[in-house]
Amino acid sequence: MKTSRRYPSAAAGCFLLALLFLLATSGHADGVSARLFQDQPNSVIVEISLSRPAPSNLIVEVFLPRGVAVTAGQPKPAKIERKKGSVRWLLKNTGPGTVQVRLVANQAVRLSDCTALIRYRQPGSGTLIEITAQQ
Amino acid sequence: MVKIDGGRVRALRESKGLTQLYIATSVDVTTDTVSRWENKRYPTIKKENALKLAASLEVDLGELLDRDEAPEPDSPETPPEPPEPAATSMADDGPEQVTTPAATGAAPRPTRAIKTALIITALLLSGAALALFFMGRGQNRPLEISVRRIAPPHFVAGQPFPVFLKVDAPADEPRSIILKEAIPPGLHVVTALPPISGQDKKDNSIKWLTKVRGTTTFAYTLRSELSYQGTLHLDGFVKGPDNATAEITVDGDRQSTSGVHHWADSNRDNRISDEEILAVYDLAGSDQPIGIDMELIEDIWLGDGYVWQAQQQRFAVRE
Repeated sequence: MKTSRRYPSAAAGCFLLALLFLLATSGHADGVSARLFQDQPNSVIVEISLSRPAPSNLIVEVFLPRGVAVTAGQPKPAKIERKKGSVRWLLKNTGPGTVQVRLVANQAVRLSDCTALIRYRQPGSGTLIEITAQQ
Repeated sequence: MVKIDGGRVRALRESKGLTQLYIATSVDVTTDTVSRWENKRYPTIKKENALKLAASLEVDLGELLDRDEAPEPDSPETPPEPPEPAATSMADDGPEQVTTPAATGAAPRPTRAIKTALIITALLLSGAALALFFMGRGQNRPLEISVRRIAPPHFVAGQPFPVFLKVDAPADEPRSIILKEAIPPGLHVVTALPPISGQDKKDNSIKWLTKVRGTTTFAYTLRSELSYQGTLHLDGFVKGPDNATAEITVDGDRQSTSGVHHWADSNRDNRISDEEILAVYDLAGSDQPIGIDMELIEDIWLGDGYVWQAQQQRFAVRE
């Protein structure tokens, strides 16, 4: 307490750095966060929340367990790679708000066996950012 | 054709701090023409030009029209005119009257003292104008605008490729600008967005005359001749509407070299990565506004690379 009173700006800086670190390593960075959930045992939904300044375009890639095939996707995926077990979307003209992609598999899937990656260029700097959707 | 009040045009232009160049670019005429309009040498002009002129001066056309069609009566100070001269000449955009000296000798001849006074006055006025000009040059206002060019490092001869100009202006109020880009020899503009305001054939340049606020992206697509080989150099500037603002050179990418790699494949690995396709969409948008084959770029991104087939003049995507 004494330290934080004497060095309030240093304490706040450390807190911010810790917060930034947590955000960068989870499904949340630069106002972009993503979560993975299901509405049916054979579906996978990725929900991405975007706040200002939001990236204009996003790539969403979902990796499914071996042997699971995709029977449908909404919106239509840009590419389904059966060998890799991945599904890719290129979402254009995104803005602040929420965007969802959903896939239906040929069998029930466990979310813990799935991974979803979201890639975008950071508004302003143009740096490529990749985050993992949280379950 | 409509008859405009040249004096009113000049007064409005000067009150807004606009140059004749700005008006000329806006209406797509020469500065000489604007000068002639203002000096009432071309009182009647095309309605289309009059509308553009009114728009550039931000007034209604009615404010520029000469309401008094009849000749103005002489003011009391004006000495009685000599008999109506016979000589007239026709200018290319409207009638121009040239008066000849009276042949009768009835008009009073100016005395030597008046002539001397007139010459001295003219010299003093010229000196003052020159002083103001040079003082003004030293006090150029900053434009508070920066422009960055984003051009691909390479392109394939004969294939279109885009150039983007990102203009960063203060967000408080719109700023009028002239943005000019020189088109390198051997290349031509396929399309531009927003549409260009004019193209100068003499120096092969394109220009936009517009208002900007915050960040605005201008884009144009170039295509070279099939035989083009080498490195092209890009050059341009942005300027305010008045003489007081300094000219700012466009920053950023200045050259691009012809080769066999797609312009969107920035690291020349014969693939288009996630980062590369995101960069394309972030810059160009997704509605194909500037003549870029986005479908091909997406196909390359989704595929397993590409090769340039020079014989067929096309990119083949590896599946």
